[in-house]
Amino acid sequence: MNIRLLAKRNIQGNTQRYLAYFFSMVLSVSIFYIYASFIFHPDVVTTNIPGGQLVRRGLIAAEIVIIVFSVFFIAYSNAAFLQPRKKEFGLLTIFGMSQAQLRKLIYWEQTMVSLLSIMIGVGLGLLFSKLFLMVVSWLLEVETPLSFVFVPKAFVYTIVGFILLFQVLSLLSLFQIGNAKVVDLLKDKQKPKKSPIVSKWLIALSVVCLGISYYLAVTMKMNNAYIRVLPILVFILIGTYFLFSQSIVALCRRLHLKKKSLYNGTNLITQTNLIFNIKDYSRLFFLTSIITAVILTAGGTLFMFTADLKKQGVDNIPQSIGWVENDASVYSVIEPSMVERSLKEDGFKILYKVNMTGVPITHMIPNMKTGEPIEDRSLLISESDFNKVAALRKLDPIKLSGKEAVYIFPYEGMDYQFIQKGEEKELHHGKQIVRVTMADQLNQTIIAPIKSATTLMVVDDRLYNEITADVPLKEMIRARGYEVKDWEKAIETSRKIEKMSNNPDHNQLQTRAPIYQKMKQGSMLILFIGLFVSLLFFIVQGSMMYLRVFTNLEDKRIQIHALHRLGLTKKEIRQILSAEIRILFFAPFVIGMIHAIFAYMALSNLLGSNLFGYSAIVIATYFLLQLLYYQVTKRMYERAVFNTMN
Amino acid sequence: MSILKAEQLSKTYFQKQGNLFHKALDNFSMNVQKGEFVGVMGPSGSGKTTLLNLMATIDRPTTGTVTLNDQNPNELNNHDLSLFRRREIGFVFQDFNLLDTLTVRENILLPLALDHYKQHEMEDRVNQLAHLLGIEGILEKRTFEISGGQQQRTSCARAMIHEPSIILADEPTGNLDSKSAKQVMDSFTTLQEKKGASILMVTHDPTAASFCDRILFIKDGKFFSEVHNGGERQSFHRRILDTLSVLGGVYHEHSTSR
Repeated sequence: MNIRLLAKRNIQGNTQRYLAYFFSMVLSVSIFYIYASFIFHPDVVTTNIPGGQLVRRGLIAAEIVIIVFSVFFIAYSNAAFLQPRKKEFGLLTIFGMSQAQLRKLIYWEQTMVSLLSIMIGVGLGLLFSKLFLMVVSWLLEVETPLSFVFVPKAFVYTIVGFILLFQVLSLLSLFQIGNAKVVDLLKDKQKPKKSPIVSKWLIALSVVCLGISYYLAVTMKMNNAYIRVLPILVFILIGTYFLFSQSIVALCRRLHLKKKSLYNGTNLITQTNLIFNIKDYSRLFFLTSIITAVILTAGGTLFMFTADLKKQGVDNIPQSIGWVENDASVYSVIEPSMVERSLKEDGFKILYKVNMTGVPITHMIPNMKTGEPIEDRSLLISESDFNKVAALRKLDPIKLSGKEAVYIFPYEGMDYQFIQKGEEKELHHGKQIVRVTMADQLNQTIIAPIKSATTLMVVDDRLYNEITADVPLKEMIRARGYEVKDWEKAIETSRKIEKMSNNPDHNQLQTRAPIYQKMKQGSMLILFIGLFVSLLFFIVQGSMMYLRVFTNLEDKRIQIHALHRLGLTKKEIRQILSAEIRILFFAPFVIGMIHAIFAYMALSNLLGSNLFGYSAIVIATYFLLQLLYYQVTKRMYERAVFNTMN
Repeated sequence: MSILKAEQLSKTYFQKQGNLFHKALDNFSMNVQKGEFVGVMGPSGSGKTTLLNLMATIDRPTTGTVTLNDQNPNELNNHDLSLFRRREIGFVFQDFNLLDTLTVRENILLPLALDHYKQHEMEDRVNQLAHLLGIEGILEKRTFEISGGQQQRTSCARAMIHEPSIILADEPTGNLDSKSAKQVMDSFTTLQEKKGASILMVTHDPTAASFCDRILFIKDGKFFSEVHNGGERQSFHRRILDTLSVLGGVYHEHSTSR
């Protein structure tokens, strides 16, 4: 029997403890390999796949996230593995094992597990990389899918990278056991940790921090989002940390004082167990609830953005086909009959047509950044023209009288007020100057927001007629639009119409389907890549729980064994065990979920849509996965505890 | 009236493979009267622990029956057996088996809490027992803050709190110094005298055994002899030692102090 064999036996004996860690590392290695195999794929590197470079950059970012995350997770796990084995190490030292041999033993154990997980991880990665390449090719619409080739560079990077990572972290973890005295190792019997000092002020701080960050998130607007993200993050981190290390501890103390519920059945055991472990838990809870919040927020945002894209398309591009003629008297961009013919040929049913004329005007608005007045070009249109299209687009009509005017800005979510209600404004058309009173600003589109029709000024019909009475048709601008049924299928037709049109700068005609298609591809791609990283994060946070549960297995066994002899039924033992795991898996979930809900509210505001349904889907999916992980852990834990019992 | 009765108990352990078997207990009969304090002694491997496990309903006999308070626990299913154990038997273990997450008070009332007793009744019983056993001062302490003797007296209180039919004690003084051991044995006597407890104790320690009313000696799974306490502890102690020397086996390893 040599050290290596002993290390092997130790791993075999501790399979259950290593399992979740092993699983997480395999997953992280295989995802790393799959991403690397795209990054270093010869077709991506040499030929110019459309969007290939962008995906590459995204994947490199994802790789960095994986590595950073792995570093933390491995360091955490190594510490968690060594902690409960101090007594074992003390015994080995007493039997005459030298420090060097002990270190060698730990080193071998960790190296064996890491090599095995790298091997299996790369193997799985190799197996699934073809699938990944196929999906990415499909999303990128590459004509010939990226072929499955063995990418040596990806292979080398993954293996060498992870071996280095594991080795460095193993060596670091050896310091932990370092020069501890044998007596200390042997006597490392779990003494209850003194629970941290609870201070009212810190509890208040956690509440205030969370309150501020939630408030900032809920009232976030497009123009202040960038400034707010960082403070929100900082406040959330501080708030969550003290929530778990202070508020939860205080809550537990409260629980302990309530003798009536405490002294009721298995509560006595579960609640005191919780109080006993609360300090250890608080750090873990903090970490996992933040990870949960990150997964839910990031993954949820990607998902919601993708899911909401169709609505965004309809909101921002008012008609399937829309164009603007700078001279209303002729059709120079494209003949409407040609558009209609193309649509009909391809079998698209026209839902409605827009044919609107307006007068280009100029007026002064404040600059969004500086507030300095600058000149803006808008299209002056009549109230009845606006309301006609608004009704077709299911928007609220506007009602104006006298000299009132409404400013229409096409980008929703951009919450900048260019006009003040009741403000007097001068509209210029050539030499003609009209004074109007601003009634409102609406952020919506009714005609293709391109060229001189980007922003609109709507006035009362009478006023419109007065202004335009002397304006010849040649000086007017015509906006045309066709909305068709099943517009998202009209990609080819849209391209055909674009080709037919006289639109050299590609800025006179706007079609919805191709733009939507591109956006959809892009966000699906990000979603697809993000999915793996989210999955990894999810598995890792579950593994941290799993590790925590199995770290104390020996103590737990002894406790449960004693309780069983005292006459605790198996059902009650199960209750105790599941109560213990339940809080580990679901307390951080609840807090992470609350964080995410506020993030979703912010996102709803930014996108201007109601994302309630989508967020329910995201949270429910996460909950089900967490429940699954909980069930598996519970099952294994119960088995581990019961199998020593007769 | 006998509260615990064992009739012709045998326990045979089989090896999973092959036909090796070991008879740990062979046609052993005994009984404990209500309010009686009975000790079981014997050398290592004589079947003492097997006997206690059978009495404790943790293990089932190969043949023979155990009757506790007119009930045969081996006819119960696992769930009811646990409940039976919880209500009818009080346990005192060599290694105390107190939960270190609980205070002394909570440890004592654990069996009551599991059976959903009223809070004030639990408190009353704990206070009364703690007073009887002289551990009132440590009720709010944690198990790691008190001495081994105090821990074992705490488990005596826990074994008695729900007033079981019988208390089973497995080497209760095995981990204690002689002074603590005496305190624990006094606790047992107090429980017997003041609360009418029936106690069955397995022990190696002749001094501890001298607190019993009678001692059963067991060797190789069979009944060997019986010694009664004539009322005078000194002579009882000497007779125990005499029997042990006849019994043979290795006794030097079981000194009470370590």
